[in-house]
Amino acid sequence: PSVFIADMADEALFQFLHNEVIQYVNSAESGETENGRCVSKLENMGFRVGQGLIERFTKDTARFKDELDIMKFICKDFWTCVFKKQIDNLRTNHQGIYVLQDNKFRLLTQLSTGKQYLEHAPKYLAFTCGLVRGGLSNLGVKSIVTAEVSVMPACKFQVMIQKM
Amino acid sequence: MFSPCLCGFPPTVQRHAVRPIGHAKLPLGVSDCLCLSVCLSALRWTGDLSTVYPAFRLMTAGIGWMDGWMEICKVFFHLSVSVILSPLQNYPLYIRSVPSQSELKFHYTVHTSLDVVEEKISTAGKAMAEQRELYLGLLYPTEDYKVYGYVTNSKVKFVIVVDSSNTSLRDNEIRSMFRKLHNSFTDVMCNPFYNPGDPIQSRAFDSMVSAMMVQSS
Repeated sequence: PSVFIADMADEALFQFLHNEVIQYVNSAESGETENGRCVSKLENMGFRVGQGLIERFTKDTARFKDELDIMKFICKDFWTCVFKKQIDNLRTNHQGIYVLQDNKFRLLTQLSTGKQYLEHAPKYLAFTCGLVRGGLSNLGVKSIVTAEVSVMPACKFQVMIQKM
Repeated sequence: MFSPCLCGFPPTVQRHAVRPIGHAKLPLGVSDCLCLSVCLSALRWTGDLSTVYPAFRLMTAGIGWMDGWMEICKVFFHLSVSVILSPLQNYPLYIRSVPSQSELKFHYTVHTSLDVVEEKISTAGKAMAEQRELYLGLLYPTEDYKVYGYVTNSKVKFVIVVDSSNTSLRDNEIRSMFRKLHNSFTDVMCNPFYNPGDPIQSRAFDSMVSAMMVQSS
C-alpha cells in the first residue's frame, strides 16, 4: 500500500509541477500573441526531458527491431511510466505517420470536460509532444509531433517521421 | 615504498614458500618483497612491462593468496581503454586509457573497430532476431589487444580495449564493465547541465571509470 501511495503522490506532484511550469512560462511570455512561443518553449523543455527519460527506460531493453517496435515501446512502456496508463489506440499508415490516441489523457483530466478551456489545451499538450519527440530522436528517429483535442480528456498525438 | 609489500605477506608464506624467480631460487620473504617493489618502481619509471611480467607470474603462480596482489599490480599490467562514441557522427564523447602514453594508437584501434560494430548492428536487426542484446561481445582480437563493443538503444557506442595477456577479464567481467559504463552514462544524460552530444566532463563519471580500470573487472 505504501508503494501505491507513493505512486499516487508522484503522479500528483508531476501534475502540479506541470501546471506550474505552464503558468510560469505563460506569465513570462506576456500577451496573447506570445501563445505560440509559450508552446514551443514547453515543447523544448519536454524534448530534453524525453531524451533523458528514454535513455533510462531503454537501459535494460533489447535492441529495437524497427520503427514500429519503437512506437510500441513508446505507447506501452514509456506511456505507462509517465502517465500510468497505456495508449488506447495506435494507428499507422506504414509510411511514417503514427496516430496515438489516449482516451483519458492524464494532464487533461483536471480540466473541465466541456468546451470552456478547449483553447488552452495546446499548452497542456506541448510538453508531452516534446517528450515524445525527444524520446524518438534519442532512439535515432527524427519526427514532428503534434496533438489535437476534440472532446476534453481524450486526445490524439500525431507523429510524423522525418526520413533522413 | 617497501612497507606495503612487507605488511602484505602473512608469516606462514614468508617461512615456507620457496619460489623460483628468474633463475635463482629464493625464499619468498623479505627479499622477494624488495624484488617486487624494485620491479614495480622500475615499471613506474619505464612503463615497460614485458621483462618483469614473466618473473612476476612465476613467483605468484600457485599462491592463491597472492590474488589480492595481482589485483593491485594490474594497474600497471592492464592496458585498457574505454571509449564512448556519439550516435551518428561517431566522434568520441569520452576517451580514457591506461597508460596514457600510447593513446593515439588506441584511437586508431577504436576507429577501426567501428566497422565491425556497424556490421554487428545491421545483421542483428535482420538475420538474428533473437540476438538483440546491447552487448556485442568481442569485436575482434589482434595480437596484442582484444576489442569489445556495446551499443545502447540510443546508438551510443562503447568500446573497451584490453591487453590480450590479461586472462582474468572474461566475457562476464567485460559485460559488467559495460553495464557500469552504461549506468553512469545514463546518469550523465539525465544531468540537466549536460548537452547531449558534448564531450563528457563529469567528475562522477571520471571516478567511476578510474575505479573500473584499477579494479579491472
